Amino acid sequence: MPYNPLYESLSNQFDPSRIETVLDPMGYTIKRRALPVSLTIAGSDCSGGAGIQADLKTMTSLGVYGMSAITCLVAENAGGVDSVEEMSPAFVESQIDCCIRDIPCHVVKTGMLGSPEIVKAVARSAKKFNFSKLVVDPVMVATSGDSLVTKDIVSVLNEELLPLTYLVTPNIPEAIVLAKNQGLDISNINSVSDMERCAAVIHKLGPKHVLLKGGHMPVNNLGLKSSDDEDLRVVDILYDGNRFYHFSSSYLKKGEVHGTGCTLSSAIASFLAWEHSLTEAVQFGIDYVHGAITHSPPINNCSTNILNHMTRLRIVPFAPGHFIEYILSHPQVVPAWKEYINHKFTNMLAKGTLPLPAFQDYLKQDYLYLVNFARAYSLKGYKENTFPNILEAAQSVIHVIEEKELHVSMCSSYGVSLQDLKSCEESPACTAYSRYILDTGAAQDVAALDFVQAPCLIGYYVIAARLMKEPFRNPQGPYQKWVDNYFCEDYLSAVRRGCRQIEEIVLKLSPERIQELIEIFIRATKFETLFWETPYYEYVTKQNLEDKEFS
Amino acid sequence: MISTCITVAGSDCSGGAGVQADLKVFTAHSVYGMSAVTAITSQNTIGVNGVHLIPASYVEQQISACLLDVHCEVMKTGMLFNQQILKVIVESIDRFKIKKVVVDPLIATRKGALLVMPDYLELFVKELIPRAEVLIPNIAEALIILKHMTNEFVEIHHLEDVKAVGKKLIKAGCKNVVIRCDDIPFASDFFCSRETNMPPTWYLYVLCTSEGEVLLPQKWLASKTARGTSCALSSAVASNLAIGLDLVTATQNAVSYTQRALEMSFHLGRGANSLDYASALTRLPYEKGEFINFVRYHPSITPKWLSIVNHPFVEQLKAGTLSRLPFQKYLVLKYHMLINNAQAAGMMAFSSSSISAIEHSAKIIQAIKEENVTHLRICEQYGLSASQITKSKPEIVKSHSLFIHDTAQQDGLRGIQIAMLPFVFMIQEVVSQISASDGYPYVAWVEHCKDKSATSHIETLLESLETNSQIISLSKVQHLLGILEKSLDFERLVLDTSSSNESSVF
Repeated sequence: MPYNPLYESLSNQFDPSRIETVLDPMGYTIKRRALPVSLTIAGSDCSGGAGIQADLKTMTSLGVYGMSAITCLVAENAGGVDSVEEMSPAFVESQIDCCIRDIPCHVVKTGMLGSPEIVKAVARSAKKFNFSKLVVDPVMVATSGDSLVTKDIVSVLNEELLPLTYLVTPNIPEAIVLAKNQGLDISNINSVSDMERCAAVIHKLGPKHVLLKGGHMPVNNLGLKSSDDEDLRVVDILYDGNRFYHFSSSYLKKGEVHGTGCTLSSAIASFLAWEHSLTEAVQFGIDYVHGAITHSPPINNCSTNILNHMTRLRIVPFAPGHFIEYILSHPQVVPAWKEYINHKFTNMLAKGTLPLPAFQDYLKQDYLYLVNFARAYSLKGYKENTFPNILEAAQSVIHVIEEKELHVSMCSSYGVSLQDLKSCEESPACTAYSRYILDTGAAQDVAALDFVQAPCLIGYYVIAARLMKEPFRNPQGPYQKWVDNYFCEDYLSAVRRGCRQIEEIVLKLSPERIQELIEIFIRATKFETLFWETPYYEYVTKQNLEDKEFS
Repeated sequence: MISTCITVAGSDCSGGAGVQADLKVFTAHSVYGMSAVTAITSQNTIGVNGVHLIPASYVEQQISACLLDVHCEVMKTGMLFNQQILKVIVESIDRFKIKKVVVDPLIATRKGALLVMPDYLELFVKELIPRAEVLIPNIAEALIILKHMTNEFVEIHHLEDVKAVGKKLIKAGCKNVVIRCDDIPFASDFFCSRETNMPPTWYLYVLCTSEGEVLLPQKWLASKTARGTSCALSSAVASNLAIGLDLVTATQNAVSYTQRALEMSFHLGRGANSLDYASALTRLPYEKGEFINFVRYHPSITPKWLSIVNHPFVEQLKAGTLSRLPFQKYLVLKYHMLINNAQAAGMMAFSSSSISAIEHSAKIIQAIKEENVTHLRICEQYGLSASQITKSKPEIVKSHSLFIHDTAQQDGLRGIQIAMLPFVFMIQEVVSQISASDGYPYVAWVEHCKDKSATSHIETLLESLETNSQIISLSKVQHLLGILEKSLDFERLVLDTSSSNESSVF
């Protein structure tokens, strides 16, 4: 896009390194500098549904900058585990060191750790760097826990890692394996109260908090294990050593879903990184996973489904400070916009071949339009709720009035008296356009008012700037004063103010709302074209006075 | 169906490049990302500490595990490290018939220092480039590839020289090329600004196809350099291709995305800046159909609502021990506030743009009118005449009216709908729990409130609010919560006024 002074001052106003008040993913107002950060130490699932891949998708979706130390590569797909390529413990530790020494981070999540030596390496790192919010998802390849390798991993996990853990998140089969490894028996889990007992046993292994996940055991309204088809619930239990917290959600019959454990623990880690309390983080994490399961798509041929980590995301299609560029190049906007700014009326005006009656008629209608434009800014002042914004709207009204004074003076020099202006009847085009602006503003909000007025405000500057560079322009032509009026510093500052307001307001809008507003912008642009077209048809086309250069 | 894409690249544990960056970019485009790791590096914003190479057979295994399971037509390749891995990828492309391969060469630094061995470069040019839908080199890499393919060299002084490189690469057999001039700022006249001592104005990206060149200049950001821009650009191109866009549009979008990520980049570690991959995202804190639950249990709402539920007036109302005078005051206030709600519903009709929404609002007004007729009849049973109720408007009602009108003017349909929620909560959570058994003094009123026909418009209101709340921003959610808080404050004030011995409302 060619350089344009309209855009220059806007983009410098967004400095992401300053401390600012923002909304976190749950809509809470907080202050922060940079993105919250979290590290995941886990295996790599190349199919993207679990492991560091699921973790990074979760963290990105929840606005957290994710780092990942890979413990092993698993060539796994949703249908089953294939094979594993393991990292050396020293290399895992090196990855962790690289991350933490450079980008400090206290919220760390572990997943599949692969070997007892890697578990020890992670424990060393946890002590060295003080992982104050260590979330351990005790992933086990085989839930039977019978293999020798798994037993060794579980032993080291129990003895060295859990005592350093802020939150451990086993499911029921995993909890049984953890407890059994230390000689504790928690079999016969058939109810929510049994789950509480189980969580208390796991807490004895050393973690500060235990979240026992109930996904394997749906329960009925009485909190008893059940396989009936109706009204089943999943209860997850959080235990802090004193109190039990129950998190209940409906049981989703979605078949097996790959990666729910990774996603839950990394969602909890993400919310902890946003500095939520643990109970909030767990609740929000469960809600997030619930949504990801509910909206999991039929993406593959296997029997298991894949989580949709992106269910809450909508893409904002422009960068802060660049919305004006975006809308003026938007494929839906471009046709109407080009028709408006390239209209033959303005070309003939600049060249000096426009019949005087056409210009006079335009001036009269523009005068009547300005009255309604001032009304629209007054309406905006009414709708704003902060004094600076109300004052700015008032300044816009004053600017329109000043423009009207200039307008009357210009009209006089073209043989149109103030009396002519006052006695002139509004054209249907003027009535339609001005009332569209007022109706949009009355029925909708401040953003709609800004958008419906933008084509006029921005367009007149763009048109004047274009005409100034056209080879056919006659600098000594009879209408050069009009072009000068919209290519001066005073008008440009008004345009910049309007653009800045739009750039600020779109940052608070959803993509859907922006699309609605773009449609308003397009409609207003077409009304602007009609504003040129009406006198052009009446005094040029019907009088056979077209300029052949523009036909 | 969700679009899918697979990346084959190295792993950067600090998250700023490699498969980690690619997965973040895919996620930012709502594309389901998969990844085959070629090597695991231990690196951060300062540099690389160690590399663990993955055997080529294992890379092949990862690719197969993904593509035998998930349908995927777009692949992005990054750091491939050696010839064995490169061969495996070429074989996989043929075996799985990948339709669009996006290749980030990663064969040289921005300064032109080779990162790969000559044999690798030979194989890369001979086998991977012919299979690439689009090649995305930096200008130094483009020149190296060009020399290798044609033995020609182009000196870069102007934009036209960059275009010339692109044309020659196309002529030599590349399908499409996006050339990145990351380290060469261009002046406003498109000459290299370092050679002419002009101030830098542009980053240049040039898309070259057999049909011509597309120039995509981006504003030069003097204070912004960051790791991972090549990963971000190429995986953004891949994402847009996966979504189904044509190459020109995909590249335009990808360049915009990368520029924004760079502009919004921040200093996270001690070395280079980190790209903000999620700067293009906005998100809602609740699922579809869960908005009302979300606001009902929001931490800024729950305390206010509990102070209403636990208010002595409500406690006594539920227990049946509420004396007549405060109840009469409550009925009077409710009458007037219902009129305010009817006016608000009229404003809703004005603010609506569809005939069904206008009809909905008209029905609310009609329902409120019938409600008030019944309300007056019930009031007579409790010793209140119509003239007593209607003769004056208490101050609190005037305040509520102003609040309703202001909300309607500033926030339109959604604002009015959420301002009515306290009324809904009261019916759903308080009145419906009252068992009006024998001896309960206000049976007629309770039964009326529970009557389905009297509350049918509530269901319509809730349904409409739920639908409207799927297309709003996080900022708007917060704003609506503020309106609900004020509404609850009015509800609390009604209870205080009804209970107070000092106030007179009729």
